[in-house]
Amino acid sequence: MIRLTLAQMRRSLGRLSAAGVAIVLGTAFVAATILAGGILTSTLTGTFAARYADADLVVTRTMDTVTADQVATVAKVPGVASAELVLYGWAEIGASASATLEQIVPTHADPAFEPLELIGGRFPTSDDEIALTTSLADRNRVGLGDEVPVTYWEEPAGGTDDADLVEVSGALRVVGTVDDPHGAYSGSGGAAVVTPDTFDSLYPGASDESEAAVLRLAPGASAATVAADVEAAAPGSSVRTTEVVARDAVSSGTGEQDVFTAVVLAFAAVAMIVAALVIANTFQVLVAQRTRTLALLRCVGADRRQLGRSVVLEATVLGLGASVVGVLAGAGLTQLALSVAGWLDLGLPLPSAIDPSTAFVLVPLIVGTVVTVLASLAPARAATRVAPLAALRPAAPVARDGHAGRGRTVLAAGLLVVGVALLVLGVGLGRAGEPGPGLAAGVLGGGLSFTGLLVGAVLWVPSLAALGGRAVAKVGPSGVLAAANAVRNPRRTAATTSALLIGVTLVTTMATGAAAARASLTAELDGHYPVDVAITGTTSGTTSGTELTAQVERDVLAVDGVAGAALLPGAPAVTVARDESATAASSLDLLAIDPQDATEVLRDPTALDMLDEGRLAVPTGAARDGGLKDGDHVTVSGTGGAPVDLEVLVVAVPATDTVAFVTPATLADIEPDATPSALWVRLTDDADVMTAVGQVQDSVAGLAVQVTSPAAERASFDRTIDTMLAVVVGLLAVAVVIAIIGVANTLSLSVLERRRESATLRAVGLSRVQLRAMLAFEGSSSPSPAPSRGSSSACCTGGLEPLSRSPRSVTWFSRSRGGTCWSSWPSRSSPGCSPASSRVGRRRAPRPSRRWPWSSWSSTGPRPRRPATRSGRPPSDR
Amino acid sequence: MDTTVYRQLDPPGSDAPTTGRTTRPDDRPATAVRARGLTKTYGTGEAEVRALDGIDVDFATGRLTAIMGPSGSGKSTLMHLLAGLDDATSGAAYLGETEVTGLGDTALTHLRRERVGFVFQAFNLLPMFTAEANITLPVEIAGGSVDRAWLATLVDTLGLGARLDHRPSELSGGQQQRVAIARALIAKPDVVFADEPTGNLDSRAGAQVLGFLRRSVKELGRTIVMVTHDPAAASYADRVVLLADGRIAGEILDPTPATVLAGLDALRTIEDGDSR
Repeated sequence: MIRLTLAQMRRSLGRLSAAGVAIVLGTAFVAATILAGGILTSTLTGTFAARYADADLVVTRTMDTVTADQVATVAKVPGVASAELVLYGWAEIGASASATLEQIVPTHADPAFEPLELIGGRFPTSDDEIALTTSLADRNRVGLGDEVPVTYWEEPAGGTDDADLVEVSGALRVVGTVDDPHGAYSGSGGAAVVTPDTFDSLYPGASDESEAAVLRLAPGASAATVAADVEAAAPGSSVRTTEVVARDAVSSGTGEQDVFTAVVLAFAAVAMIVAALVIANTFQVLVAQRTRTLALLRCVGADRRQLGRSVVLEATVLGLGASVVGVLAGAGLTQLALSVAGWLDLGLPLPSAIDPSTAFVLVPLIVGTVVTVLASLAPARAATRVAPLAALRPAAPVARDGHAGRGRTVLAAGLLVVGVALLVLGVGLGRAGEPGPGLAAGVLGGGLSFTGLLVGAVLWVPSLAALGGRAVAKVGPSGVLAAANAVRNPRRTAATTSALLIGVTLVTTMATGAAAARASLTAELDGHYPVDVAITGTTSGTTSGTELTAQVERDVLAVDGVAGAALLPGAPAVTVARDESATAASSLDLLAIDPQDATEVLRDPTALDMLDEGRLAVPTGAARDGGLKDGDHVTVSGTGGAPVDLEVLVVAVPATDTVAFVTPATLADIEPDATPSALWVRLTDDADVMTAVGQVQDSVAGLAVQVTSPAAERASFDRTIDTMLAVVVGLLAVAVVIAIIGVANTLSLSVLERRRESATLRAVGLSRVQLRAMLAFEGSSSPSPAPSRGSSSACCTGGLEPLSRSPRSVTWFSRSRGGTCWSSWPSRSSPGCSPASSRVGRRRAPRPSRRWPWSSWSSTGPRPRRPATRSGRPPSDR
Repeated sequence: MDTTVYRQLDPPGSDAPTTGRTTRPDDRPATAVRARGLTKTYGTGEAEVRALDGIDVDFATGRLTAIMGPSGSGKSTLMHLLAGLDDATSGAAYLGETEVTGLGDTALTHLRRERVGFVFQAFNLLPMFTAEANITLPVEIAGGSVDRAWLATLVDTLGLGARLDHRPSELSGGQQQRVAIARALIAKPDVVFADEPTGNLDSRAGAQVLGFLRRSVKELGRTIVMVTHDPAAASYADRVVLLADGRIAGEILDPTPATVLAGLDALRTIEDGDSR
């Protein structure tokens, strides 16, 4: 039987390869994911371990830091050659315009602990010297011997935790350039090295303790013994080898990476499910194609199980073969990605070659094979049901049960009803301000209703196909035939459509979800930042808001892309007391804004519409904190002016929770000496955010002000979402490609089953072109319900996605608006989809079209060389 | 009615149903296959069609018997029921002492492995296998080992010696059908059912194949039941059973093409008479 199975496989090589491609894509996907995950982890581990350079052991304390005293004790333990604390701090390096925050580390007494490699000059030995990584030196355009400004912050002497840090600036001479070969400081883009004394002066007291200390073993000392001795010498410490520490740190710190892997694997699962549908279809085709052979085998003594096993064996061989190719493809792709990454020099110490693990080889192999075998089970069962009698009948027409079972109908209807009910409930809960349960109900409802649609596909797809067919039927005789054919095997039409339905629905849901996420993030950002760019006078040090002048405003307004700017006088820390009890007072920073200006600079121009004299506009957050409601009367008193009674107006203006707004006139009453404390800038909608913000920064360069740009942040969020969306669609494209292979397979099954019929049509005068047209029409009319249906079901499922982050019902509308608009995307793509599948159908068409008309009455066995003649006349001819 | 036609068609000089022209092994029953009251109907009520209507017939061991009749007379259905390929509505079919009707799928599979062989109109050879692999396929499926001596005998009898390594596409129709006959005989079955074995062959190749079928019976002692509507083919048989409207309409012993044609003509006359 094995010989037979393999011989049959060789004969069906073309069709099996088409199905194999589906499995190859799926397994390559899984393999690449596993491989990439492994590379990410090992890179992170390597980076982490690099920090400890050549240290043998790392000492940490669970609840506590390791102190210098403990290190001194540990250093005396026999077998310890040297011990040091692992120290680092942060400092701004470079002139203020281009300064960047960098890690700053002291030199090591024991060179074994130094992760950096000197490539020019020397390590600093004197307190005014510094060594920079090459990237840092290049960025600051400094070389050996140049001075580089260093700014850092320290707590003022005797200061409390609340006190502002004091900014300290100085300049250090560059004496060396270093390389970071193992990426020890790749996370911060480089590091600067100073002497321990300089480090200590930058961070007084910082050298006394650290999260970890490193040890180097004396030659011949046993790591385990020394570790035990050190733990005894410094009770409460945990001593582990460098590798173990790095691995532990990575495994505890890479929750996000695991989530990422899980998400990608979920896409891989989708690809595999679609592949399974394709495999099932393909084997269905093969079994139908081999009906006569199977029947013959039954006649010569094969039992049912042998036929079933033969199909499963075939699937196993196919699955295994395709999975091997998939694993190789996955490895190749990952290697290609690594090579490209290495060529791009991302600054990460990525390995130059992949390092395949056992899991990488086995998991995709097993998954690919198991999925293929599972998918072949139903066709295998169909193979066992072939009656031996079929070998004697000249191609008996396949009678098919066109009606879905009652069980299926009930199940589909039930799932659909419950699903839709849950969707409605979800929307209701979302509006009622219960996003959590609403989301749960929505997701569950979406899943259930979609499953219902799939289960009941055989019920509704043919009707839709019939509808499509009616349009096609107007074209002519080919169209009429195609319309009839498209609905004559509901099960197959449904199977064809299911694969496409899943793919398109996922793409749509993703697109809708991304649009919703974007809308929700934008709302969130608008919520945090009322303006595009805010320039505030720094509150620390010697400067105050006085540097913000009308001249600054004019400079900023002159920048390309700036639509409007408003200078806001402010009064810090005014007291807001309620009428009835002076005790319930709170402190707020006041900003004065002219309502007219507000419409020009705020993202939401109507936000401060209601502000006028005698009113205090309190953002929602601040109102909640201070227990203020709309219409409350409060007394606001500053340090300079007289207390003023104001009516509270709770506004949706997003701002920090300690700010409230008044009109300039009101502020003048409260604080006559108020100076401008903020400059709010609105960018034009078509401005290139990054350029505009950069130019605004340039225009205020040299002033002691701080520029924050929510617009830039928003733009970068947008870019991130766009990238993610592109990646997701790309990943799902794999599933859709697989689905299209499936459509080709299913359509060819319908062509196969109708050889005689097609030949008969040719015999009664249908031209080759007409037959081809019929098949093309049929191909386009049966799967076409999928995209449209996919888009609408995704609209249901995806439309609820916004609930996920919806804290307020108001924003729900704006988000679902985004969802609805995005769901039109696949509909736009649907015209692009159908021609593809119809082309597939057309490609299959020429075979039967070339069939001789007379083959409709000759036997379907191997065609005799001459048209069939019989010896002697049949009696009936007389 | 059966009796009437039977008598009417009985050729002169052949009064016994079977004639012992060949020796047959003693351990085999004299009757290889028989049917008793075998009935098959399709559809119900108004649309009911009686394909077989109470058939009683015996097929002798070591004989080549042809079943003949006009289209729709039920000859194929009779063979399907005798071979256990289809379910009877009522009545019974026996293979030796085994009642075939009512056997389960597993028992039928074993029956097909050990006791029944098939020859098809369309040959039904596996195109990817050589002639030899096609012949030994049933043994391979049953998981047994090929009886080399028997294979050699078959190949020799059927004149396939030079063709064993060829694939079906490299064989003529007649050669393909001879391979199919060898396949049907490889497991030494109690009976071989042949369904229009010459239907796809020209008259020359058909005659050759029929000659081989006859040799299988005469020289190898096999039992063959053949369905045909070709009088020339039927004349190769030891006995022809005539079927009309699902009933046995008579039989012809030691047929010649002329007697078979005469028998068929008689059937037609009766039918025409009935319809008037």
